[in-house]
Amino acid sequence: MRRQAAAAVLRTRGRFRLTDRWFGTFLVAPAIIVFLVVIAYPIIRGIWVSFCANKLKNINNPIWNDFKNYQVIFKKGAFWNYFGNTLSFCFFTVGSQLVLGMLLALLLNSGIKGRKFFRGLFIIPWTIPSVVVAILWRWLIQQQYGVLNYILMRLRVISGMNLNWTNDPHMAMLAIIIACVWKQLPYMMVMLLAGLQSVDRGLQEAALIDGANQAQSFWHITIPAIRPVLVTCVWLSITQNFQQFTIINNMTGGGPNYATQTLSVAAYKEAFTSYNFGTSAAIGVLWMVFLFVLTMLSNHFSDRFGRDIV
Amino acid sequence: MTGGDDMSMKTKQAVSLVLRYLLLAVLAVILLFPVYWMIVCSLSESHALTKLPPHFINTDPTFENYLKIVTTPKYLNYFKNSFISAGGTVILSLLIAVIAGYGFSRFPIPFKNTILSTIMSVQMFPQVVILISLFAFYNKLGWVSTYQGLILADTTLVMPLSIMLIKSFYDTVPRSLDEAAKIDGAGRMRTMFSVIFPLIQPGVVAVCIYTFLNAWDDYLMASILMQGTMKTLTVGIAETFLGEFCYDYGGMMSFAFIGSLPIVIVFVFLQKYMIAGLTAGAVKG
Repeated sequence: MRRQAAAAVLRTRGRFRLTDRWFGTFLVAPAIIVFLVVIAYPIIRGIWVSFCANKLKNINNPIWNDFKNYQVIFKKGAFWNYFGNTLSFCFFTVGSQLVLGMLLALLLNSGIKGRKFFRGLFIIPWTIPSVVVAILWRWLIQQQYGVLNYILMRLRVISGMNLNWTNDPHMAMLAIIIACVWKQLPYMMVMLLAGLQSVDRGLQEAALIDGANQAQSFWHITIPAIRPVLVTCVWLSITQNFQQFTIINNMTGGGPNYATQTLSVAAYKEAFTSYNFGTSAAIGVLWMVFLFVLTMLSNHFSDRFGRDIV
Repeated sequence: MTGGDDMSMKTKQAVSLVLRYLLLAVLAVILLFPVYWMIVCSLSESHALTKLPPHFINTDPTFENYLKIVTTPKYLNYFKNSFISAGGTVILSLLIAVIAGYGFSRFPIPFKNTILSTIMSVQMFPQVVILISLFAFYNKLGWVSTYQGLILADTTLVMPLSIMLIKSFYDTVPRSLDEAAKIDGAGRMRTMFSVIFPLIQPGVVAVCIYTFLNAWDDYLMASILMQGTMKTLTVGIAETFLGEFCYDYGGMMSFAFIGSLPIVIVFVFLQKYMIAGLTAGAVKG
């Protein structure tokens, strides 16, 4: 049909004219070329490099080394440690963001005045650059003069200015989670609020009239209605926190004793501190495989709800 | 319903409303305290900050820390590099996204859905792996420590979402407008630039903000690709205050505040577009 129409135009005007199909392709071509050159090719090359010995001296000539990079990262057992750190960091960061973000969004959506004003206030942490977030929180949790320790001391949670956040594995992990949640919470809140605002109020009211309580209406009307937003937010947040490098690296540097060394920090250090590009790429490839499988699985399960994540 | 029940219902609602405002106020104080503290400390001398108890209200503000920043050429240079790189990223990704978004929104492109989901799925690929390859290419090309190198690298970070974002704005413009323009004799290029393009300006603003924010925020790419006098602000801040001046808390906080300022200003003036942009893709999609 379309081709015939295009051919008709061509005849009537009597000069050369692209079909819609070709015109569209022409429009998206620059994007696809940039995509292939600076994203797809680097990633495919990265996968190849992960099977190669690739140091600074042969940076442009990776040499095949029979899976040695993978053997190295698994032999040391380091991979599972970093992977575990990444999972717990992601789980707690995404989980607390989701709960707090939902709480804030529900509060802002509960018919209060000045919603835009509060939303504007709450969004400010999101606009603070990651490096600034890292050094700001380093100062807040500083042991001797940090204001957080001071407040904890006044609340009698700790006995003196003696809580060294970055020296204890669990506290260091908690510190980076707090900093990341603080920065990312506004985004989650804005997205969930937009989702909540799109929910049909009539349905919620009908449920209440039919005798459902607020909690039932929330679980059975609101949550299913905003499921697409919810799924997108969680997926985006998981992938972003897998990528999280700036805040972790500048707050704890992966320490103490590798307790906050996530895959992204490990891959970065492997590449640009030790210059083992091959090993670093191998870490990246395993992470890619994991997220790919995770996405496939969740797509498979969300098929039941008739919607893909990506 | 009796009058008494009505009254108690009303009081209940009033109490619940007051509680909600109270909770919001408490949360606002907790969430914004770090920003407040950053500003207070930036206006204090460092030696005043290493004393207990901390002064939660700064009674004697000093601008010395800020003066030091604006009179140090090295620091100003960080700002210049960040502005040029972020500005370049905005222009490049906008050019690509505005044109591609229209194509994806309106035309029957072969394998359209496959292409779109491939572009979107890039977000889960490790940026470090892309960086390794770019670093190798740039070494060969001599693009390490150049603006075009970092601009291209930052574009890889923002391009996928920029395209999807602007496409979702094109999708909201009715197709009947395209057809009307066609009937009136406008060509496809003319339709795109003079009819449709003016209608998606909020989307353009949203993409500008998103790309600027991300390019300004970038530390991963810049820390490797920009060396020496080409270092950007984020790298400069990290390097200065995690190294040589790691006890200069006043200086650190003033630098942190000035580093956030461009984005906070953008945010204050363009909040409306930013929120429209943030939510456009996810909520409708």
